[in-house]
Amino acid sequence: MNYRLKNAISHIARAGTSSLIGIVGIGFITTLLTTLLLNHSFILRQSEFKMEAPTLVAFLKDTVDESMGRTLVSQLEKSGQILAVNYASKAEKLASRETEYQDLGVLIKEAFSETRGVNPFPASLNVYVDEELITRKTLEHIVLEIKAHDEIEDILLTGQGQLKDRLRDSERTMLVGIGVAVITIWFIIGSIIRKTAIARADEVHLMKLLGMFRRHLLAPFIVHGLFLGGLGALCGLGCFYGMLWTFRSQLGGVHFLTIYQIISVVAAEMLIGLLVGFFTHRKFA
Amino acid sequence: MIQMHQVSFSYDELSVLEKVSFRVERGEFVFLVGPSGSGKTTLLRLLYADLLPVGGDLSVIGQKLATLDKVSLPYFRQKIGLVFQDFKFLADQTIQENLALPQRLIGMAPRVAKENVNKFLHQMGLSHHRHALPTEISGNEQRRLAIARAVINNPVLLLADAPTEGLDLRLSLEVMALLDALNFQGMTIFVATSDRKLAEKCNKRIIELRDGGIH
Repeated sequence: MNYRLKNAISHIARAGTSSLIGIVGIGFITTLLTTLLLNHSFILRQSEFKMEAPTLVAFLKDTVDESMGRTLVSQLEKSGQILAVNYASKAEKLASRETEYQDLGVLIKEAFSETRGVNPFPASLNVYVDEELITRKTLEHIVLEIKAHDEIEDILLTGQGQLKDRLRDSERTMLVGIGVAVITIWFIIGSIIRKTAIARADEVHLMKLLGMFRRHLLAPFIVHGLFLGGLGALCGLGCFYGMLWTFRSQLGGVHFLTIYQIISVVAAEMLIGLLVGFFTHRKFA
Repeated sequence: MIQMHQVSFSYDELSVLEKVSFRVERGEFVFLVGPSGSGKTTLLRLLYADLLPVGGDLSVIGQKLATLDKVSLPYFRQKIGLVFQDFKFLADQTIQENLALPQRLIGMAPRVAKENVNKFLHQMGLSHHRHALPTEISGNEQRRLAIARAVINNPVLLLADAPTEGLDLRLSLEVMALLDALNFQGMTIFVATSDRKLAEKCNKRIIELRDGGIH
């Protein structure tokens, strides 16, 4: 067997059970991180699906005609917090239902026409709010502001704002999670490699005295870091996939991470291992 | 081969070497003699650049040690054979793996390295122990193994720290005969020992280190 490979394996073996415990620890953190990542991806997908939906729909009273409705649009558009307002007349609403529900939409239209002879859909304003401003508090403020107008009958929140809110929360949680995971994984790998470096101090010193090149001294540390980071990540992902499979009936249609996300998680943890190996070598060897 | 001029060294406040000067020419066999604690090991460590002098000029194999950087240090050390007082074997590796270590460090092809290891194991009478661990062989065999490891890369200079310590006169002379044979082949030998009688018996040049200076 190649001497350098053998040296690296001997280096890893020196850590003994610490390596094993470390891999379990990294695996556990990876599982938690993956859960956050999956949650974020799920919210992101929902958000993308509803991207075109307005933040809220303000229904106009039947007494409000189109010109009054359009005047209200121009008033609302002056607000700095509102990005855009579209006026949808009763006829447009009915037409949109036909397009949306096809046969059912036609049926609804005919049913209402025969019985009452009136279009049951109220005219409305589709209000889009600046994505950067959507927080629960801002949205409440905007709703109250619109509701204050006499022309408004009712307001429907489409959930787009809440979704954005959730997305932002999930983004923050995930960033904090990534930060904590990086620090913890760094600490775990660092402790194990440091322990090995101390155990091998005499050996490393001997190799230096015999003329070993720095890059060859560095190799086992790097390999050890990559091994711990990579194997820990794979264990964590495997564990997460196992849990997802076990609880698949309760979780419904939750999909596992994409191949790019899996590669990113493994690569990121291997990168941490590589950096820890490099810095530990600089410090101890 | 070795040029030491006004070299001083101290561990923090404790001065060990004070303005030491001497020369060793290529192909010489020189003993550095002095009582325990006189600074022999420190002087040897200065020679293979494990320690840096606090003053003076030191040149080994034509290389000024003050100008050695991290890149050239391994190349410098690969030209020197080292026999340590405590041998410094890799405890979890066999005799042949320990002997192969210097060959591997210089990137010798595995087949050639194996041939060299076999040759040296045979020369040192250690062939039958090739798969044993260093702790499983006698003190004398460990010394022979240490010398074999030091010379397997055919260095131009051999630095040996107390290679006969703990051995009786017969075994000590055996070790010296081994070193003498290497010297005969052109290798410069520099041996640090506290056994002055042995050094005198070998009839070689003696440098005496006492009270931090050469006498």
